[in-house]
This record gives sequence, structure tokens and C-alpha cells, in this order.
Amino acid sequence: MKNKSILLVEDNPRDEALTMRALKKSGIASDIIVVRDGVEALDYLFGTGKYEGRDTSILPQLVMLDLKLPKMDGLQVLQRLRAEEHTKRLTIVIFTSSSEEEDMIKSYDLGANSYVRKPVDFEQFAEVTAKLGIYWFSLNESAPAS
Amino acid sequence: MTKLQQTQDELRSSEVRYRRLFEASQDGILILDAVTLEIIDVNPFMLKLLGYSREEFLGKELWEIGLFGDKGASQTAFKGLQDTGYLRYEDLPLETRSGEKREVEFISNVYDEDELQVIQCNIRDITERRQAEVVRERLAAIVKSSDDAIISTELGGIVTTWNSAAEKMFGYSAAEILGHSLSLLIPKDRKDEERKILDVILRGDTLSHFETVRIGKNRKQIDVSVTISPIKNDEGKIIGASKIARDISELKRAVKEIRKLNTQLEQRVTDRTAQLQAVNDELESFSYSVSHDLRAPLRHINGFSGALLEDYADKLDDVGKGYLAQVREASKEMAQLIDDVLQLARVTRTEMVPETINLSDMADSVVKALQDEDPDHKPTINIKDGLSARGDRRLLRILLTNILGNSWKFTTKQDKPEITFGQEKIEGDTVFFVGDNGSGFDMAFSDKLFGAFQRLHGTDEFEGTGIGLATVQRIINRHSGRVWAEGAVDIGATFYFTLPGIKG
Repeated sequence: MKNKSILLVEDNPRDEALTMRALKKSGIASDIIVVRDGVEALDYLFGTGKYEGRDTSILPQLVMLDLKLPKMDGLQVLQRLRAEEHTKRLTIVIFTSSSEEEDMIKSYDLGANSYVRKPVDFEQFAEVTAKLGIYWFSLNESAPAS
Repeated sequence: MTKLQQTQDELRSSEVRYRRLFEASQDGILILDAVTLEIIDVNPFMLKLLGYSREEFLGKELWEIGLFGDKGASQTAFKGLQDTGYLRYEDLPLETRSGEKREVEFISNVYDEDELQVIQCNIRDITERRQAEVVRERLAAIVKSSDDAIISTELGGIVTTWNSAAEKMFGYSAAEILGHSLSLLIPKDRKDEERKILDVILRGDTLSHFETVRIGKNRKQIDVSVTISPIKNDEGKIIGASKIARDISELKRAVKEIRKLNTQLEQRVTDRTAQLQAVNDELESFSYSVSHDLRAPLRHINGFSGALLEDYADKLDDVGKGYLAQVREASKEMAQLIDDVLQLARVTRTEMVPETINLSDMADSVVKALQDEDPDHKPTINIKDGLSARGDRRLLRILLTNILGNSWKFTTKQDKPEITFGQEKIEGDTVFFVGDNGSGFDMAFSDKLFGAFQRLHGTDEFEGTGIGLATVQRIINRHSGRVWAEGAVDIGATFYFTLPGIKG
């Protein structure tokens, strides 16, 4: 088995810091790759652009995808990933500020594995992030990469 | 044969001839004695006309029989007859034996018959003729006074009658057009129309409300609706056409005007809708960005304060920790405020799906959620069974969450808290209510209850953003209902609302 990793698609460094802290605190020691926008996320996963030549057979165990992102938003990224044979079974959790019902419905329609709203409260945030990491990272058996 | 005999024979044959005439005449004939005015002879037609027997006539004076309505006038007239020797009535009303009225033409002559002076009265029944005249006059009056042009033509199109409305409508006087062809009125490009109309008429059919254009004397076009029927003679042969034309220029203009106004109105509605849509879209994207962007900094304020508290607890004293706790609390309140404002906005713009909803079940489930959030507060809950209303499920759930949540919150300081959800009839309306025995409110401020950001309690007393009841008001508005509240400080509050239906 390849190294387990998490791809965090998050444009906001503060959210990144809080998420990283929460994941680390929950004892998830794997690699956490951070990309800042939708295009970079696709580049990483498809080995294009900045990630030209990356071994794309190595896929993250979990993608934590924000919705509001520069260049290409989370829903567009999700749609692209689900359309590609290589990434269609990738575990993708939408991790967002939005409580808009429409965002939630669209995310599930496009094949998100989960939809989690980032709580404002620090403790709740830490708890949710940790649970998310533990569930998708440790408990869940992901589909093998195609 | 002697001369006398011959004369006698001739006389006899003449008498037979006149007697036959008298007997067979289709006019009534009476012979009176001019002196006594007694009836000497009456012919069968007269008896038949008036329904009397010969015996009832003979030897009587005319007015004895009861033929005349005005006995006195007749008597005077007959006295005059005796002087002038001649009397004529154009239409004299007589009564038959059975009391039926007959109009007759009455001519009397006085002449000598041998020694005797006699009056011969010839009576012609003109009842039917008179009736026909009345009908004809009535019809003529209708034609004359009609606002529709009524025209008759021969099959060749030569005008035979032309009423005053036709004069007014087309500008030609009857004198100008009678004897001329009606094709004067038909525009060049519609000449073949007349041919088709004639075909219909010749088949014996009527062409109803045929809309076309005719030209008046002033060459102006007139929109008309014409009904054309065949005119038949006694043998049923079609000999012409009657045309009734109505000027519909005004109507056409009105229809055109209405169409124009409708188009303008539609355009205006389209424009306004587009404007409204633009505003809505703007609001939508505003809400969206509020939902995403406004919460993020709050999360960071809260998050880093939390991280500071956790990671540097040993470097902070209690006052410092307290300050950070306040920072976290404030950011949470702000987040709640944002959520409430977003919900308020969403309540207005969300599309509604009407359905019949069991409000009792919904209230149960809302109370359960409130209980889960705040397990320490245990008010007595009375929810009346089987309450239902038509409305949007999501909005009504927000409504009940806000109203029941309100009661929940304001009964927390009560010893024996109680919350009731029920229904009553007020002036024929079905009214739902949520009542509690909580801290209540001063009725003097009841008008402030439903305004956004309006609070009647300090946040140190009860938490809240002051948006819940504004949201309630909007949901009720969208269901065309009313909401109001009654309360008293430290006694409790009751919120009433109606849900008559959903606005378009």
C-alpha cells in the first residue's frame, strides 16, 4: 500500500492552520498536502502544470475540498474529478463555511462523499475536523484507485 | 210573350242575379228601413262575420243588437245619414256576438226602393288588413330607428330599401342610392367577396356576423359586421337579400387599443420582473457571500483564541483567559446573528411548495429538538392533537421553531414552566396559538415584537438576536396570514397566528 495522505484544498491560510492543528491533535500523522485553488487541486491529482511529472498513481486517501476557491470553485473541481475514470471514486469531503442548502444539494448531486460545515466555535471545529479525519482516514475503506 | 210578361221575366231574372250577388257576397250587406232604421234584410256573410242568426237581425234596429261600442255616436251618425244619404267609416269597430272585436269598413247609402226609402250598409272586414298594417308599421319603425344599417337589395345588388342608419353610416341618402348597385360600398380588393356572399344567399343560407370593410360616400373605410339573409317571395323563390350592417370601427379601435395596452403592460411586467430578478440575484449572491465570507473571519477569531487558550494556558492568568473567552463568545454571537439574518433573507426568497401539514406532529418534533439542545429545561408541553394547515413545510418548521423556541427560552426562569400549542376560532377564523407562562412582555411594546433586531430583554437576561419574530412575521406574510401577541410581564405570552394559504 502507498503512503496515506490528505489533500486539503483551502485558499485561506488561517483555515489551513486551524485544520492542520486539529488534524495533528487528533493523531493523524500522515502527509497533508495543501493546495490553494481549484486549478492547483486538479494539477496535483492529474500531474499537470505545477505538478507535471508527479506519480499520479499515488492518490490521497481523502480530499477536503472547500467550495469557495479562487480560479475554479469546489463544485467545478468535484465535477471534473467525478468525470475522470482515475478519480471518480476518490473520497471527497466538502468542508465549507456555507450553510446554503443549494450548495449541499449540488455537492451531493455531483458525488461528494460527505458535506461538513466548518463550525465557528473552536472546540466544535476541532472536534468535527478530528472526527472527519478519523472516520475517512482510519475507519473507512476507500475504493481502490482505478 | 207580351211586353209586360217580357218585362216581368227580365225583372225576375235581374232579381235572381242580384239576390245571388247578395247571398254570395264576401262583404256583409244590411238593408234597413230608412225611416224606422229597422233591419229589413241581412246577407249570410254578415251573419257569419258577426256570429248572429238571421232572426236576431230582422226587425231590429242596429244598435239594439249590440254591434256598436258607442251606441250614441252611431245613432247620431245615422240621423246624419238620413239627411245626407251617405255615410262611410274607414274603420269602424264592431263586436261579434261572442264579444270579439272586428275592424270593418262601413259604407251606407240611402236610396228609394219603390215606395220605401232604404239604407244599404256594406260592411267589409278589414281586421286582418289592419293587423298586418300594424305589424308592418311596427317593423318599419324598428327599421327606421335601428342603429344598424338595414338594407335590402335585389339579387343583382340593386338597392331597394335603405334605412336612416344606413344613411348615417355610409353617407348616402336613400334618394341617392335607391336603384343603384350596392357595389358602390365595396372596396376594390374585396369585389370577389360579393360573389361569395351571393352564393350563400342563393343557397338560401344566412351569413352571420361577417366582418368586412365597406367604403362610405366620403371614401373612408368603415369596419362592419354584416348579417345577410335571403329574401323570398310568396312562392319561396329567392328574390333578393337583406343586409344588416353594424359599424364596428369603434369596437375594432377599442380592441386594437386594448391589445396595445396589453402588450405595453406585458412589456412593463417583463421589465419589472427583470429588474426584480436582478435585485433578487444580487441579494442571492450577497447572501451567498455573507454565508461564506463573513463567517470565515469569525471562525478564525474564535479558532485562534481557542488555540491560544489551549496551547498557552500556562502563560495566561485568569483575567487573560477570561478576555479570550469573551472574544470567543462574541464571535459565536456574531455567527448566530449572521445565521439568523441569512435565514430571514432566505424565508423571503425561498420558493414555497404548498402541502397540508400536520402542525401537531411538527410541533412535537420541534420541541424534541429544543429538548435535545437544552436537556436541563423541562417545561410541561401541551400540544393539541390533529392540528393541520396548508403551507410550505420548511417555512412552517422555521415558524414553529421560532415561536416554540421563544416560549422555551422565556420559560427557563419559571418554576413550573408550561408551553401550550393549540387552536381556537376567533370571529370565524381558525387561529393557532402558542402560549407560555414565562417572563412575558409589556403590551406597551407589542408593536416592537416583530421588528428585526428589536429586543425587549437584555442579552444578559435572555440570549437572542431579535430576528426570530421578524422571521415569523415574514413566514406568516407569505402564507397570507396574521400574527399578533398578547402578554404581561412575569405572567407569560401568547402568540396567535393564522395560516389561510399561500401567496402566489
